[in-house]
Amino acid sequence: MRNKTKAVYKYNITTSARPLGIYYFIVLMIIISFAIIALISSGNTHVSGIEFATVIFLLVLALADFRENFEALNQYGLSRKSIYVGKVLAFGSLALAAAFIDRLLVIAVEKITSPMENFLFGSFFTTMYETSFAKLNFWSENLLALLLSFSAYLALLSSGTFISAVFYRSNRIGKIAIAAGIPIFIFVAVPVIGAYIYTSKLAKVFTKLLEISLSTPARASVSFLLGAIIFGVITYPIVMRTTLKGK
Amino acid sequence: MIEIKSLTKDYKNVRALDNVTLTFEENKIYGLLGRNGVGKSTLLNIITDKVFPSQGEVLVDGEKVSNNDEVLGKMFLMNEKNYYPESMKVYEIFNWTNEFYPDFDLVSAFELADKFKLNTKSKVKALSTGYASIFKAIVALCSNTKYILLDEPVLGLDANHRDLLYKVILDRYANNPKTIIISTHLIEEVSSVIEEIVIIHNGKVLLQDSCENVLSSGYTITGKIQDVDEYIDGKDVISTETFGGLKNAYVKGKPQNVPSSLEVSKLDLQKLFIQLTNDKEGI
Repeated sequence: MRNKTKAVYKYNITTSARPLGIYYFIVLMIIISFAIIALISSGNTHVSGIEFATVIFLLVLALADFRENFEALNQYGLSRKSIYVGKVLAFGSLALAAAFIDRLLVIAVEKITSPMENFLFGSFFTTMYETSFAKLNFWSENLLALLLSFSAYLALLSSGTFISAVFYRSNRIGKIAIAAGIPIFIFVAVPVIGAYIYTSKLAKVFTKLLEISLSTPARASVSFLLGAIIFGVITYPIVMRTTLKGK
Repeated sequence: MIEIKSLTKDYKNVRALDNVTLTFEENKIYGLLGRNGVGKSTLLNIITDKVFPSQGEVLVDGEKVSNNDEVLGKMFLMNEKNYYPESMKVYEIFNWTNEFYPDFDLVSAFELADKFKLNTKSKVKALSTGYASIFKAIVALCSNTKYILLDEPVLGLDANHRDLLYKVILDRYANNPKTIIISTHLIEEVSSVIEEIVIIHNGKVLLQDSCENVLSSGYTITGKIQDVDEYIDGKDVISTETFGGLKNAYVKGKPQNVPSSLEVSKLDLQKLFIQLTNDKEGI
């Protein structure tokens, strides 16, 4: 790694470490709180979906990080290429670190709370692909869950960076269109289009594609990795043409 | 050497820079002067590859600037606006600059912060306009890069701090000569610091010359109104001003046959600047 890229990588990791630390502190506090509730009450407590929470956190991190990061590194006299390469490497490390922490948390909390019959703690991905994971031994299960988490996190970081890079480059109308367009697309357009094409041939092709790409943890990992690569590739020319905006 | 070749920058319908060709030589202090919105900041941002030109190119030591880490590392731009993370503390930014600029003088940065009474534990967003300028100027001056570009370095500074900053600039330049480009509105103040003047007007280079040449291109004549009027009759007068019974006239050329009733002094750079860049605005 070249010196400048190394410095950019270090800068990205350092500036992301604090929000990541705060996030895991909150996650830990939530798990402990629910475990205490389970201890002092007789009702069942079910906590799951840590990976899903991490997915949301990493997406928000990527969305919020681009402007400040790009402007600061630009101020430090770095080329756009170094800024991009340093960010890709840092986000790769961040996705890996988050996947490791999540897996360790799942294993540790499951182990510690195993004597508590009314406290159930589960992983989002292993619950989602229960039958696939049930066939695997301890090491294979964790390795696959780790790969799945890593690829999903990387895909979200990559898509978040793409959206925020486009947002930064856009004019006021473009910014409004992105800010309003993405939620409208996800929550209105997709269900409407989905309902419309549900019976069509296109729907069958689309459903088949989803089935193939997400049917097993391994396929889902490959699909997420492909998504991360695609977003990473299309973000590069955007970053290379981005100029410092006035404030 | 920084070479700017046929540089043009258009923002939608506005031409910020129009076919600018300029050279900034090594180890000189330049004053980049111009009225608001004439393209000074745009020029500095293009030189440091923060903004792309519409046409033309910038070469630093013969190499293209665009996406060139090595060349970009030779320059430091103190931007008029703040692009540092607002939640970061001043000392953290000193430390990060030290990571990105291997020759950054961390010790001097803290010493200068002490001199200016800048609290290095303050967050960037907590700094006043003046202290934000001081902090950015310290980072730039301690970067020890070959080319230092200062965009409005005295913005919001009081007279004492402005004076101190000019002394620091000259002191650091004397110990370690480098090319310093100062973009400012405070022309009279900066004239004692700069060696070369570049005046930009309506996106074009109006004047590039040594400060000495510019100042010796004319003179100021002071005296009673009638005496001054008689003297300047037929001469190339830049501008005049009257105070009570006295009159100042800024005249181009060398003083000749000056009557003993009149006093001759150096040309006022600010007056010359106003004359050169006046677009006949009414009040």
